[in-house]
Parts: sequence; C-alpha cells; structure tokens
Amino acid sequence: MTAAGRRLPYATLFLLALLGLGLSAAVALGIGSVDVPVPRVLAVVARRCGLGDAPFGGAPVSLLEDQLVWQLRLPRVLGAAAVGAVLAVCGAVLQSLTRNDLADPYLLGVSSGASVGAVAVIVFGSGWLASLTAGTSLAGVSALALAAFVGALAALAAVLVIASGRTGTLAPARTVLAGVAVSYLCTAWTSVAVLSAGDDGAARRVLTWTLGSMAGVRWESAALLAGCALGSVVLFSCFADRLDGFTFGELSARSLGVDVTATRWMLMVATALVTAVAVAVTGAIGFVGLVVPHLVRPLVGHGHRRLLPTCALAGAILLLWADTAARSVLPSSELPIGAITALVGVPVLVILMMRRTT
Amino acid sequence: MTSLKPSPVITDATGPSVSALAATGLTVRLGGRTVLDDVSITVGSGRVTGLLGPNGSGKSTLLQVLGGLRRPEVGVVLLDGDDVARLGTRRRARRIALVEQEAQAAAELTARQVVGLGRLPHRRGGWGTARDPQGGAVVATAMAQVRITHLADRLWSTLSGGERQRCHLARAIAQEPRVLLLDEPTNHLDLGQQLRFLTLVRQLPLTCVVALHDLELATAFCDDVVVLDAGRVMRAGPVRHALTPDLLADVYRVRAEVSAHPRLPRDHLAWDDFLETP
Repeated sequence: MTAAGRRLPYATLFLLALLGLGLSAAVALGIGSVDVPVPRVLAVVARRCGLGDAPFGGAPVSLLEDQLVWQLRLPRVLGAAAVGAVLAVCGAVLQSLTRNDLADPYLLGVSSGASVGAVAVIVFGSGWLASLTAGTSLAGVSALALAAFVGALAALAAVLVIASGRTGTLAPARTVLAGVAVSYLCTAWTSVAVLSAGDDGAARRVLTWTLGSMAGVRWESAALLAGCALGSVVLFSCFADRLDGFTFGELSARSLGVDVTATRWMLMVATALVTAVAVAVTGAIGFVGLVVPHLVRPLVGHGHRRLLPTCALAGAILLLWADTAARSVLPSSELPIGAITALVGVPVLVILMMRRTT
Repeated sequence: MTSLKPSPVITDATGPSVSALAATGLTVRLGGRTVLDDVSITVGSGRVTGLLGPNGSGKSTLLQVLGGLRRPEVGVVLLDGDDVARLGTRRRARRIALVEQEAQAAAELTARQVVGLGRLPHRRGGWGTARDPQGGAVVATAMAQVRITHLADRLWSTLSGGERQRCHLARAIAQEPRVLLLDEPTNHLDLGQQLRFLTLVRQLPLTCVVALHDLELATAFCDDVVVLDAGRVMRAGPVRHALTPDLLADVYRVRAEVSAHPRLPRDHLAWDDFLETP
C-alpha cells in the first residue's frame, strides 16, 4: 500500500478546493429570501470592483440586488468562510502540538471565557461596558463582542498561568487539564448568572449566542475576520516544518532543532488570540476545528505545509455552507450554525473513524 | 540481505585517540533523586561507545545530557571543544542526532517524509526547495545507506519494527551530524534485525554513543564501553578491559566473562549464573 498512489496530486486538489470556495461563495450569495441568479451575483461584485454598471451586458445592476448581495450577504459569506478557515487551521495546529486527536481551538478555555463576557452583557446589560468604553471608537464592534473578547483573554491568561507552572514549558497534558479546569469554572459561573437572572429571554439569548451565529456580521467585522484568517494561515504555515518536527514527540522535536518551549508558547497564544476574535464576533461555533483536520489528512497527508492551507479552504467551505443552511432552511427563523456543523460533521467523522484501522 | 560480517573490534587499543565528546562532572537530580552523580566521560572521535548499566542506572538521562537535550544541574559537555548547552538548538541539531527506542508517531507520514524530518535543522527561511537545495539528495543517500529506498512511499503504520528503526537511522543520517546518540535502538527487534541495525551503525563514519541492554551485542559492536550504576560511572574503556568478571558481578550480579569467541575472530560474553543480591 502506497500513500501517493491513491491520492489526487496536491496542486490539483488545492486548486479544486480554491475553485470550490469561489463557486460556493457565488452560489451562496444568491440564496436567501430573494434568490439572485449567479450571473447577477457576479455582475454586482464586478460593478463594485469598478467594471461599470452592466459589466457583463444585460440589465444594469439594481439597487435591490446591490443591497442584498453586497451589503447584506457578502459580509456574512466572507465572515463565515474566514471563521471556518481560522477554526480549522487552529484545530490542526493544536492537534499536532498536543499530539491529541481531540484538541480543538477552544482547548485553552477561550470559548468558555468568552461566554462569561457575553453572559455578563446579556444578563446584566451593557451599560457598565458602555461607560467604560465611552469616547473610544470601536467601529462595528458591539459591546457583546468586546465583552466576549475580554472574557476570552482573561480565561486564556488564567490557563497559561496554571499550565506554565514552575517549568514554564506548557507541557501538553498540563495545558489540556488547565483548559478543562478553567472551562468548568467559567461554565459554572455562566449557569449561575443565567439562572439567577430569572429571565427566560436572557437564557434564550445566551443559548443562541453559545451555538454561534453569523447574523451580526457586517463589513467591518467581516474584514477583521478575513484579516485574522489570512494572518493565521500565513503565520502558522511558517511553523509548518516545526510542527512536522513534533511527529515523534517532544524529545525528538528538540533533537531536530525545534525550540519546543518557544514554539508551544507562540502557537498556543496565537491560536487562542485569533480564535478569541472569531468567538467574540460569531459565538463559539463547535466542531469545525475538531473535524476538518481529520477530514483533510487522508486527502493531503500529515505534512503541515500542505495540511494547513487545505484545512483553511475546507473549513471555509464547510462553514460557508453551514451558514447558508442556517439562514435559509427555515423561512422565518435562523438555525444555530453550531448545530448544523455538528449535524454534518458527526456522521463524516464517525465514518472516517470506522474506516480507520488504527 | 546485508552482510552480517562482524566489524573488527579493537580490543587492545589503549583508549580513545581524540575525544569528540567530553563530559565533566555531570549531575542531574529528578524529584529529589540523583539520576546522574558527578559523571565524567570522554567519547573517542569516530568510535562506537556503548553505554551500559542496569535499568534505571541513568543511561537515557546521560544520553540526553550528552546531546544537549537536557541541562545538567552541574557539569558541562564539550563537543569538539564547544559547550553543547550553548550551541543553539538548530546548530546543535546539525551536529548531534538522536535515535530513540521505538518512538511512536502521532501522524501518518511516509518513510521518505520521516527521513526528511532530518533536514529540519538545515532549512533556511524561504519557500520550496530553495530552502534546502541538497535536501532531496541527502535524504535519498541516507535511505540508500540503510537500504530502505524501496520503502520510500510506504506509510509509517505499515512498516515493521526493524524497518522503522532503520527509517529513524536514515533520518538521523540526513541530519548530517558528527555525533550519533542511540537510546536502546534494538529493543523490540528480533535478533536478525538487531544485528542488521548495529552493523549499519558501525559502518557510519560517525562518533556513536549507544545505550544497550544486551552485553553480548555491546561486546560484538562497541569499541569502548561506559558502565553506569545508580548514576555513577563504574568503569570506562575498551570492551575487553572494561567488562571484567568482577565488574559484571558488581553491577549486573552475574558470574560472567568476556573472552575470545571459540570460532569467530571476536570477543563474546559467556555467563555461568546469576548471583544472589546482597
């Protein structure tokens, strides 16, 4: 059995995925309360790129089409793709770094910390925060997102303090335990806060936030998320060799010239920060970061120079379609996107696990 | 198949000519226990030095300290005159390579990718093959040297124990080191694979330090030995001179001796019985 024989060449696969992402975006932009055919979607985008009022002939782009495609749907589609890419890449990095198949981007307590901040705003209102941030310009970032981000950073700091201990090496087992401990503490606090508020509306809003939604994504936050996605793919790809070096464990990595402690700190903090941005804007969308790396490895192998960019594309496509389903399956209300990623992800993961021999 | 002709073992040499590795006064404590206690050894350039001793005598720890992978509380290791603790991780990895016993893979790489890991410390910044122009050729040569070229595209999980250890050896060779450290590399291998592996190691023009459990293999494949017990050096020197009956009785609690093989032009170990622990 050879590894190379059964696979598509990497370049072909990567181009197919890129094409798939572009096509998915074009189709998804047309889906919604009012359907817009793909050629019209392209016309809107082309007009906005400065190619004239009727770039491909036909009728000029109408105001409605422009509003729907460019102002409402494109930020959301872009945001979904960016968050999917961020979560998938971070999941792949953390799975390799901790040598743990169950690692996901929320390993370091980021999501539960974010929910502490979010719940604080939902239950106790945002007045306290508004007074805190009065006068500062935070374009497009809601009080909820800001509080969630601050909560995520606080949880991350706590996990890092516990995990580094006396040695400061961020040993994986210790880090995972620290993350679990802080997560439980945060969850306990949020449960008490929600229940003691005695407000069913608040409980519902907390649940909705926890399952994630792209509904609040506008151009400003979409650009922020896209920046995070590009930045993390580039940054983590620079660490691809060093991540390969962890294949046979910490001692082996060190003997191959990898600065194990510095690499762990750098990658754990960086993944947690970009994940915190994503969670703050869209809520903690589960399963993408856990599942996508497992889906991609059989296709491109375990070498990180191929794995990471492919994970980013696959995560982007998955979340883009999950969000499209979330906003269009039910006519009147939105489904939680986290539920959809789990509905799609679980069966695929189970099939993969059943086929695996080890 | 690999020739199993045993390499000549120089038993009458008076000691290492040039020392490649020189360790002085190494002391390592782990949770209150002294794992290495004032260990000083020299390893001859281009020679194969066996690191012997019972379980828990400190062999693995000493290898890690020699390789600069663990800092001793006290003491210094010099590699050709440079302090290994101050070499810098990448430079050190270009000079010293390590082969562990049965390192478990967390990912499904091909044999060639595993050997390619040895090029990590040689890669410069940049993209693609420009970062390590000779990399592909070095990897191919290393694989040919340990005769695993035919396994290049096989997945790690499909390789046997012996094939995996030869992959690790090729990976270490691809690092182009001067010193090769091996930590019980033949554990879990059958006798044929043990002989094949150590024969390959002996053919390398490198300074080798190999921790071994099997005294017979040490007698056949090592030039010098260092015998540890409870973190102290009990004896060091050429095999024939070091492995005396009283040392074997003291350290291993066996009645045994190293003597000329009745049929082959090399030494071997003959044991009578074990001794009751005092």
